[in-house]
Amino acid sequence: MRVLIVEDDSVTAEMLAHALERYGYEVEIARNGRQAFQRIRSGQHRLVVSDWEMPEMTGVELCRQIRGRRSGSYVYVILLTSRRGTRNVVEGLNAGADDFITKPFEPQELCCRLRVGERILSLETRDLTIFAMAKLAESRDPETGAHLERIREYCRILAEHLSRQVAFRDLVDDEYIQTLYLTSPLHDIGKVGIPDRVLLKPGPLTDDEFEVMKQHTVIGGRTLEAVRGAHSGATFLQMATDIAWSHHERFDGTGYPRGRAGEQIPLSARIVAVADVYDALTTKRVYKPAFEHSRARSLIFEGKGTQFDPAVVEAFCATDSRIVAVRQRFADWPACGEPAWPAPALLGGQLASLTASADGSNPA
Amino acid sequence: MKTEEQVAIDYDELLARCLGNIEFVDRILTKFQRRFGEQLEELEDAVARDDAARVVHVAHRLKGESACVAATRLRDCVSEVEILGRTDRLGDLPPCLEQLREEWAAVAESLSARNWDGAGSSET
Repeated sequence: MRVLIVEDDSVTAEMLAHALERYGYEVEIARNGRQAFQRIRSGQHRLVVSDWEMPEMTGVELCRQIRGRRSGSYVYVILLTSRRGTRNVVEGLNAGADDFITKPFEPQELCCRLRVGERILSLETRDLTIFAMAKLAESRDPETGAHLERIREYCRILAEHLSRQVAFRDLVDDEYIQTLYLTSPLHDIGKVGIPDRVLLKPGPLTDDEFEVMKQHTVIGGRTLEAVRGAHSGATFLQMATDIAWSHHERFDGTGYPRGRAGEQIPLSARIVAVADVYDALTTKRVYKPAFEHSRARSLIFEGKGTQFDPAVVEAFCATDSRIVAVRQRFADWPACGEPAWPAPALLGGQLASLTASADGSNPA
Repeated sequence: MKTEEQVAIDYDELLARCLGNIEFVDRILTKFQRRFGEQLEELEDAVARDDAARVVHVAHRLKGESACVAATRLRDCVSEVEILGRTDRLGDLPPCLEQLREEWAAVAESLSARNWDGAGSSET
């Protein structure tokens, strides 16, 4: 990764560059804040180690300029200074610095702090990229606006409730909840591989078309599995893969694509299944109006133990005031476009009769 | 116990900061020696012209460079000069400058006498 060193003292700059290059960084040097800011605006530098006192533009002013940009990725700034004391630290942090190194620098400490910066930058990149991928997939299959935003909120509420239950507290911790929030929007990413004639068909699907539609779970699951295989450090992708594969499985084993049942279905997918169906029920579709919460709640409850994991349904019932609040919060968000095919994972039962064509049902 | 020369520049500390690269240490010390001499002249010129801002600027840079090459006493001397410049007490500078010149001479002597033996510093 590239590091921009901003230092007017050429001896210190050269020593910093030597140390960082030895640690594997690609280094460039700017002699003052103004020169540095021009380079940062080129978008090529996201890690900056800057001296505090420099001619033309100080390190603190550079931080302010960086934070004042209206666009561009986050830039992680470490201020290098001989200044000590709370007042200086506060001034630097207020200006937008992320960290401090005192002069004279210690190479190992500097390297460790840069690694922290890299981790923070990778988090930003990861979160944005995941949601962008999900949005891209959604754009081919426009549901009601903010579907993904609602799904991840519903999932978080359900998981938070489960984390307080004895049976789940070992599995569902804060990190699990955060990963679920992050990856649940990817549940339908496989739809990018479904042909328009099926995905965008306004009427009921034939049996053959429905078989094609079901493949979105396989396409999504395999795609994320391949990414996971190439990036073994990206452990969050395992949950994304589980969800993509299994969010249309049913608790009684009659779902798809693999007909898994009960705890063979990853918990994350069992949670998404409830969230996804609830969202389909409570949003308007071409073949049905948006159901009131009470009606949707009854239908979810009806699927307890057959379509859905009973524990997740209980979590849903116990948290329904929060669920309703999320639904209302996103009520005014604009739709992406006309919905093409609606409610997921509904095989039989009252809901299937209400759907003209369904993601998971085959009314044709 | 460290000798006077080792105190002028702590070669062990410098070598650690350069990740054990003796060639690089040599190169950076050569650069430091040349630059410090030039900047010391610039500093004296700024004092002679009663230019406090320039005194602070040059002294601050010298402080950073001295600290980086582990010339701790030299850094302290330049730091005194910087403080006097910041507080606009240029009249108090002559004794500080004298001390700075003396320390710079000690550092220069240490630099001339340096003789790498493995990862160690010049021993006398």
